[in-house]
Amino acid sequence: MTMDSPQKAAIAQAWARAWDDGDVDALDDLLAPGFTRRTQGSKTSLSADELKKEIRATREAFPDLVTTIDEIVLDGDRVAIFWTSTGTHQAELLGIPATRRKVVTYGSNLCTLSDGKLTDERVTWDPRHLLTALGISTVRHD
Amino acid sequence: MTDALSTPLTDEPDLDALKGFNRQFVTGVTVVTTMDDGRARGLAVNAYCSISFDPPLVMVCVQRTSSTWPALFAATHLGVNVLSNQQQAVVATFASKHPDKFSQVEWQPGPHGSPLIPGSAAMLEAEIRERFQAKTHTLFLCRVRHAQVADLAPMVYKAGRFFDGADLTELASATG
Repeated sequence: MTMDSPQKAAIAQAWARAWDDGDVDALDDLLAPGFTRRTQGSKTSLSADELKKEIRATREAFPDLVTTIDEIVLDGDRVAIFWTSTGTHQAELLGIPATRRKVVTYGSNLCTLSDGKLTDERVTWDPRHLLTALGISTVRHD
Repeated sequence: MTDALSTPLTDEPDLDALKGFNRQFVTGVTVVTTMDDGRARGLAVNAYCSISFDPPLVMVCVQRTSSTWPALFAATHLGVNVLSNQQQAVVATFASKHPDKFSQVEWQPGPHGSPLIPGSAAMLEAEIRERFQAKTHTLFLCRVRHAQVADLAPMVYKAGRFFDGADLTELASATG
């Protein structure tokens, strides 16, 4: 991916530090106060602190997690981030004990920018994709 | 209709009727095993089912609370030992909460390392293919890689009790 703008470079750097190095506070420079994150299909949204917790939990489950940003598209106050994550499942996640499997999952985030910071993001990512990669399928809820 | 326990006309079955249904279903007794970082683990399971011969598929159903359950996620293979009528001590060990059941039981690794228990009526080893989460239990769908049968009668499980598979009375056949 080409980093043809400081905005893209700032996003890529904060993501690498948070998701790959576990330095979740690096997101403080990127996220606006009151930031919210909602994953498509989920009824609840996460705050910045809750997102940090989720990153920590994900990194516990996948200690060798590497997230590649495939593309960042900027359009006015909108930014879309397309990403691919790879990691080895070493601890429980989503109720699934460690499978020791190396898996790849991918998704995209559509974010709103204000003064160079993200005020909200909408994540398109299906946890079932990850579970399927781990060899897990789940009975439907009643 | 003479059934003592019938299900009322709702979408939920009467729990006693469902338990009664299961007590009427006679099965063998298996010990499902796997290796967990070099340590043998296993539990008694009667929810074994053959699926097909081509490909050779079987399934076992394991409750999440079992100490063997997490190991079956990292494992590539599991063993299924069909207990014989000589293995009352084995079933007692595997039905217990003993922290190291295999310290009480002799075993040998199968071709892919899963513990197989000599004295069983039959043993197989299978590669775990799918793990289907069904709330409190997980169904492990497996492809059989190895199977062997001993000249021993199986143990029989019915309504929480164990019976001698060598002492079954055959129903008279239509021609007999």
